[in-house]
Amino acid sequence: MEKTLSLSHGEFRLVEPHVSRMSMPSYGEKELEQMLQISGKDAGELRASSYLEYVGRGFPKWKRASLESMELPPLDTKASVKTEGGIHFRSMNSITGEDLSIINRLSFEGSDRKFVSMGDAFFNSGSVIDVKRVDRTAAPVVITVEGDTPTIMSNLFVLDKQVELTVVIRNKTGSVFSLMNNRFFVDEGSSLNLLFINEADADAFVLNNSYYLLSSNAQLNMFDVNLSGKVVVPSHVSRLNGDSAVSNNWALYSATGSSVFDLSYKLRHSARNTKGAIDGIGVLGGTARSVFRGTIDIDKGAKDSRSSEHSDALLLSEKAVSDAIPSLSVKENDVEASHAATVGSIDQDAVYYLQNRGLTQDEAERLIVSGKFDPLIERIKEVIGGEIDGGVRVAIIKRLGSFSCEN
Amino acid sequence: MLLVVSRLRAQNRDSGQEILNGVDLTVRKGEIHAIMGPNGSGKSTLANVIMGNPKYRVTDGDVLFERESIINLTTDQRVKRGLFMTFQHPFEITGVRLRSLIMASLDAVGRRSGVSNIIKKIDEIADHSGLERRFLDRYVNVGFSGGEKKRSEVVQFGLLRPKLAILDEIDSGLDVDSLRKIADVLKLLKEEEMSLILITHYQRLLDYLVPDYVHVYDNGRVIRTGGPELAMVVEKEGYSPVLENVRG
Repeated sequence: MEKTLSLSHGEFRLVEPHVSRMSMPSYGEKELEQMLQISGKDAGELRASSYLEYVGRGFPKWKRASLESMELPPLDTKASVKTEGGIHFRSMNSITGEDLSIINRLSFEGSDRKFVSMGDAFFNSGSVIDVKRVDRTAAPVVITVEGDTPTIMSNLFVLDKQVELTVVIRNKTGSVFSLMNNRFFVDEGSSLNLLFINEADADAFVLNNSYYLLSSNAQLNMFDVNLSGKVVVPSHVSRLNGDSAVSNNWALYSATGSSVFDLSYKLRHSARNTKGAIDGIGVLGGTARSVFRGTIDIDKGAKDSRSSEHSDALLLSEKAVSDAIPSLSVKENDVEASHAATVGSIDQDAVYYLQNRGLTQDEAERLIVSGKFDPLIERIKEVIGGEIDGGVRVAIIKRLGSFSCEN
Repeated sequence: MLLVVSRLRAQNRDSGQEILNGVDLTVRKGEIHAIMGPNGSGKSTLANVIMGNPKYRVTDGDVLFERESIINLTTDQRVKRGLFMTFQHPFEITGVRLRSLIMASLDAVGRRSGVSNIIKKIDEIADHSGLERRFLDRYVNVGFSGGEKKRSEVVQFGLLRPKLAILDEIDSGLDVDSLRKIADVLKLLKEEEMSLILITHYQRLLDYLVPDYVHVYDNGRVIRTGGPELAMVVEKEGYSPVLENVRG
């Protein structure tokens, strides 16, 4: 299983952080039974084995992203999810034995195994998207989560050699709970361009566990845009498993009210000449809190690899708090690895400059904040394409517009 | 009278340090005034106090613009009344394109007409000012050279067409040819009733843009006012004789 935090370095062993567990009313045998009725043999096997793991441990008692107030609404067997485009996609309920073995091979910890196993036991939506070599450049896939019922989604994406795929996963749930597991296997020489947009309900608990296994010369360009939710916990782990694999991760977030965003991005370099980057930019208002965890692990043997992480947070209110927790673990000599983080407020000299051009303080601040995001929005447009990026610019600008009323 | 600054005193809001010590200055419609003074004499600070920079607090005196006190107005409210300042060191604003900022400014001061007209006008003034059009679609001042920043400030001045513009060292860091070009553009853009306050170290800008009045400024106040000949004295003999004359 791919761990999210490595706990050893040469001779040293870190003390494993103890996560307290708690119990809370949750889904159980009744829901599993309903799900099994609509599942094929291999999907049933996945659900049953995941369920055993799920019931074996309590929910994590996270310090920052507290789940104490989480109440799980009744679960339907089908969530309101629209999947468009792509060529070979089928329901997760109809997975084959081969799919199941890939899922098992892509075992990962995510934000917590409780949620990964919960997702695989109780998924009420999800697809297997299989891009074959003959497809070359497949049509983009757009998955949109809607409706007011809880969504538990489990997806498997398999990219054959030398293909390119663009995927947009947009979460517009009106429910207070959404969980997704996404597994990506990107074979040699293939490229995956991926955009997540979270615009969930303001009271929602939003969990995204994504794992990327990258073969030689495979490339991931991943954008994770989180704009709302009460407790938002995205966890993305890239394993650069083949020589010259590349993983670019861009995170953009805006947290307001009393939201807590606990964002985690990890790059694990296991092969030569691999390249990775984590770049985060966020804005916080109200009493919102964010934790930005960027982890770079470079294994022995990953010679000539380069990896960097950088995060910027802009605080628009005195009560907003942002922490950056960078972590570098380098076990190979011939590598480059770096990290940097900034937390600051709006530069009042720049505000004054814009006021000298006739803009009010509020207009000036909004322009500066939206400007901070502009280079990344442009990059999304470039990589994902303006036609399918889900109006990401409009969504972000709309979101930023709400800050002025609040601060 | 367009602008009347009387007995103006101000201090730095954070440190409490006195930064204006009773400034008097009167500017009528259409006039060009030059404010000269040694480094660190507080010329830019005066401009910032007139524009309402929140870093400074007015402790005494008043600033009247078109006969109304403006000291309690925010900077943008002053700009909407017709004041404007170009910066000695314009700020870089990542993510905001110069053209968008100009559009937002024109909206803010109520000077925006039809979009196609305004785009044409922006291009035209950029051409006049010697600012290559590609800079209009770049982020404000990001990656601009010193000269390009100054030209960008002039473009904004030309489009906003204020009643009174304070040009803070618009000539600094420019070579002779660029300076002449900027001065020519300013002459072209200056409408008959428009007034200018030129803050400068050097006389050379004033060769091209001849002021009606020259003020020598030091230690937070105007210490001597004269015609263009005063600038010649400063150019020839430096500030010391002027300052000593006053102190003596």
